[in-house]
Amino acid sequence: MRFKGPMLFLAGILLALCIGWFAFPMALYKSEPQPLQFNHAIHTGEQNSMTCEMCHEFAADGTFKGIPSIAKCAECHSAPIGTTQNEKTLVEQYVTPQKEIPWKVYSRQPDNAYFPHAVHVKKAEIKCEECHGPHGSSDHLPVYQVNRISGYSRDIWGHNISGIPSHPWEGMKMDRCVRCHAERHRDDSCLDCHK
Amino acid sequence: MEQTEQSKSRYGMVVDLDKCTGCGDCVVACAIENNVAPAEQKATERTGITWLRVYPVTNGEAFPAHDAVFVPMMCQQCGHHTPCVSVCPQNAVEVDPTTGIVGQIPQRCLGCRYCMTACPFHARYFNWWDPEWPAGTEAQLNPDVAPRMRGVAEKCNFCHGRLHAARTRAAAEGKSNIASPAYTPACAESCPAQAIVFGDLADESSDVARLSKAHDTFRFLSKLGTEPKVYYHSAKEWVRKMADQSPAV
Amino acid sequence: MNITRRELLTLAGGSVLGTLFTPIPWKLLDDSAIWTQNWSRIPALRHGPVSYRLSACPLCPGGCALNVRCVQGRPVSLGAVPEHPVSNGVICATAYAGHHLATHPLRLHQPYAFNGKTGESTLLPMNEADIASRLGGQVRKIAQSPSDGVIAILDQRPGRAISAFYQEFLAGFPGSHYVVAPGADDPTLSALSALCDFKDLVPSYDFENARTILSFGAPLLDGWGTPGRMYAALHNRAQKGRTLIQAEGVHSRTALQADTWLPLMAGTEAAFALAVGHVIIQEGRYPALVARHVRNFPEYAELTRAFAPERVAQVCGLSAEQIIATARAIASGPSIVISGGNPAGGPFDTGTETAIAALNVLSGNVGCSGGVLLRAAVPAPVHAPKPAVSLATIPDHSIKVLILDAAASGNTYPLALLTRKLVRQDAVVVQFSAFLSSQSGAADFILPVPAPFESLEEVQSPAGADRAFFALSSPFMSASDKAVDPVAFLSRVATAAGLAIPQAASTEVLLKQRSEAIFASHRGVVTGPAGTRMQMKDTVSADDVWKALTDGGYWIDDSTRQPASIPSALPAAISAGQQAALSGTPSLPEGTFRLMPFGWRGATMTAAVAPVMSKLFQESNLRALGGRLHINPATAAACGLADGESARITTAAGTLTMPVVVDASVMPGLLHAAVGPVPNKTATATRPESEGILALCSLQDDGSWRFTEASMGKA
Repeated sequence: MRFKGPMLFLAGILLALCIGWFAFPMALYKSEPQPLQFNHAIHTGEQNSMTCEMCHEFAADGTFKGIPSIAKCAECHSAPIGTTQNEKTLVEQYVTPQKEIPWKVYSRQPDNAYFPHAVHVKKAEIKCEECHGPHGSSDHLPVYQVNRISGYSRDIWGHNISGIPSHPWEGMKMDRCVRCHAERHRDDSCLDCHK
Repeated sequence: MEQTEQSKSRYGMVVDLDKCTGCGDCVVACAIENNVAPAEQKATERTGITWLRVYPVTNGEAFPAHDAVFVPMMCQQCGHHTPCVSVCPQNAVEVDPTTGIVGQIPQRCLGCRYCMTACPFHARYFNWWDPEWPAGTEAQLNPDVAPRMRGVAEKCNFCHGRLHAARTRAAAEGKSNIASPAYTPACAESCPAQAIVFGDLADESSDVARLSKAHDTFRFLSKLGTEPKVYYHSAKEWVRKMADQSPAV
Repeated sequence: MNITRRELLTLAGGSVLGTLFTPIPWKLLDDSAIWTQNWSRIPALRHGPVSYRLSACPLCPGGCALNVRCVQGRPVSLGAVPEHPVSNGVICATAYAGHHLATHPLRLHQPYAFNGKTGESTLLPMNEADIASRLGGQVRKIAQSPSDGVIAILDQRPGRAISAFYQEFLAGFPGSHYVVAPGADDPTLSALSALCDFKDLVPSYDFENARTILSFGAPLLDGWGTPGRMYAALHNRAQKGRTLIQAEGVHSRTALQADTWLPLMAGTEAAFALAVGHVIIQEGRYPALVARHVRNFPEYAELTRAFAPERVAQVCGLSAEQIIATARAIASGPSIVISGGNPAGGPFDTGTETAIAALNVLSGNVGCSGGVLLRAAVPAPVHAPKPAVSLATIPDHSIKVLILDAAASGNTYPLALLTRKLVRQDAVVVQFSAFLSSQSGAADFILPVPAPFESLEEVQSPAGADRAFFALSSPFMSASDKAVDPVAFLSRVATAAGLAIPQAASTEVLLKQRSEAIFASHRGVVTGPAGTRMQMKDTVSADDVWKALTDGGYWIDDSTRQPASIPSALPAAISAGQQAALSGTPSLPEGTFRLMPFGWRGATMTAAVAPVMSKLFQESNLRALGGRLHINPATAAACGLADGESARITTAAGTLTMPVVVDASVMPGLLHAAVGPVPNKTATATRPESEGILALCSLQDDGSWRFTEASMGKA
């Protein structure tokens, strides 16, 4: 057969591309279930019309508390609201025994990153959605996928394995911070964001 | 977004050697604050890690003419031709233009230790071993400072974790950039003799600026022209003379 | 289809090229880089809400207040409390690392039987009930026939609620001893108490108003008393018109800071003190009242007559002018003369301590502002029935059961002081301790008490403090189930022995009773954790006081009205040793040296220090690492030793080899031996550290071990 050599070479390239772009991401990430389902939309929707800050609060010293503690949930959910299984689990397994929910955090950063929410949200007035996306209106939690090597959520790299974000809020790696800082001429020093 | 005016501060220290009793509070408070691990069993004075180290220095005279001072030596935060910055092949060291603090990013560090050779003050340390605490002590680490890994250099950064906390607090209170340091490093805070004064050298009204210009105030190895931002004070002449002598090898 | 090797290679080559256009190599590189920053060998930080709480430091009797920074309830750092009336915003290095002690590698997590005395040195796990019943049997025998040996309890920090419980417990046994650990009391104040009748009041130093302080090697700026108080009193002395004179044979940290350092020959302290007395009397610089009202004044004048400064100058290494100037400084205004003791060297011998203490009487500074003042003791619920004795007064080989208290005294002492008091056969030593310490070497049973900051502990004004003070070290970590409460354990022993000995439920109950007694006294002020001050007489209930104390508050007594007169005496005679020192003959034979152990408060061998203290001891030379011998270059040259070499030290008690540190701050002829911790994070609790140089010290009849004659050679 003519062109057998080049054909095979091309096949090799194609095979590698298929593995690299489709099989590799599946092998690299492992899906892990969240302990509970959470519906942001119910909380932020018309019925309750809560804002982000009502649950994702700042502490007195200005640090951001991130995912609210169970005490915060208990303010409303001391008894089940509605009859869903989720609601029952929330109250029985977490609220009543005052046990924190072991959420898997999509935006967890390494220990050496210092990200003060107060500076970004209060001083620079950046909207939550600009970094976290519109999940405040989602009615279920996305699948949590953990990188088998680095141990961080897939959301840090972004869902697109190429690293090119499909949405402006996708990806939470350092280049994302650097880009935004450069745009605002805040690119002073490594220690600004590293500890 | 509105661009906030950035202040050009020069954070510095003045250490009064006549007040220092060599108690070691600053050394331990520094290690606790900055998550510096306890010594590995084989570690020595040369291979241990002490971001802040107090050197007992004597006048070399025989008893009873003997005299001594204790010199707390941390990163001197050189402001001019900063030696560690010039030699770093990795861009892992830099001088923060807003604070003058010489920063070290361990994750960038390659472990070549050029900076340690270049530092005239021996203020840089290398992680010869994994940072290890006795079981259970890890839970008591300061969450504001990331532990470093084996194979990288590290040094004092004027308790940058505390600066971060101060910035967070200021932003939460709606204040603009903190002009003068709204924090105290662990060593200055712990000193029972109040021998360490920390502040902004660029702020003429600050204590540290005033003291840095006081009589009998000097800097170590000022002849090298690296413009350290840590000043020392002693009324003893032999101490001031010793400050410009190159260490004996 | 037939695939050749060449075709396979072509396919592989294509794949390799293709892979370069996939995320595989780049993403793997990135992820593995992150993994190296994130692997298990770097501890992960635990974030959470930050909170602060107050407590007090139980690591020595200093009584410093602590501000504890907690993250998610876990202690992350300890700090001082600014403007605290006792500790003045100061804590020491040992305290800064105090929260690491609970996870110390030498921590004991369960009761053990230890047979170290037989030389095998094995820790055998036991359970508490077994030890209690075995001890109960022993104790019952002692109660029946005290002639075979008695029971004694060694209290590391007298004056606590548990001290009173020990005393009550021992009152049930004929011939038993309640022993105060060596160095627990301030030696100068103890000597003064023998000269003066202070009745129920406690002598204390008024550093805040003194004009001259003459210290015989007291580490006043190196851990003595409450560090914050000493810094406040001794800082900016020139502005306050205060002078510190430090007399000792080592250019110590206090001597470096002193206005005058007198390089006094070690061992001639008494002669120097008597020479100072001589000058004060000859120049008539004592108050007239002293001559009239102080007993033995003529005898003391007669005694000091022989100690003319010119003669003493020949033996003590100072000039006559220095002695005269010192005497004039003391006599010129309110002054304090103090020996202070050393955390590892203990007090001087009784004769020397008396000669030093007498200068306070002679200069008329007892009961005067700026001298030695009196204060009331902290109110106690029961009057302790059993008087305290010192180890020296107990006959050798008379104790059958010895119980070692767990409190951190900050000091250490030679174990031989204890072991020579034990009966020759079948003696039982029980140690309460959170850590395997060098003291454990003498123990048969070791009972693990909660580590510092794991249980409520009593914190009081240290010896020499100007006011009675009471606080609680309130716990911020939880103790393990196996931790033993000494009070509950001794009550169980009493039950097992079937004896009608007072029993108490727990240390906490005793502390609550003490808090109630303080409330009932209507004295002083309670300051709550938020800084709220309550006059005790206006306080509504005992529960308020207890709440304030357990939340990190403190109680401070009102100032005590000084008695109009204090019956005092001066020493009429002096020991033969000092007379010999004066005769001018070289006190030591040729080729022998004076061995002087020294330690740093809270960091001696009886105490565990946090591994991070390696920054001071191992990773820098700021503090003397335990087991090093500091000697003058001249001494080193005489023995052919160089820095870092090993020297063999021989005393009457034995021989030991230790490395030498050549140090010009030490007087020639002096062997300054560091008794300190060896901070080691990888140590395991299998066998106790040896007590090092303390094993070589010769013990005087009065229980002191400050100086030992020793010979030294190259090892």
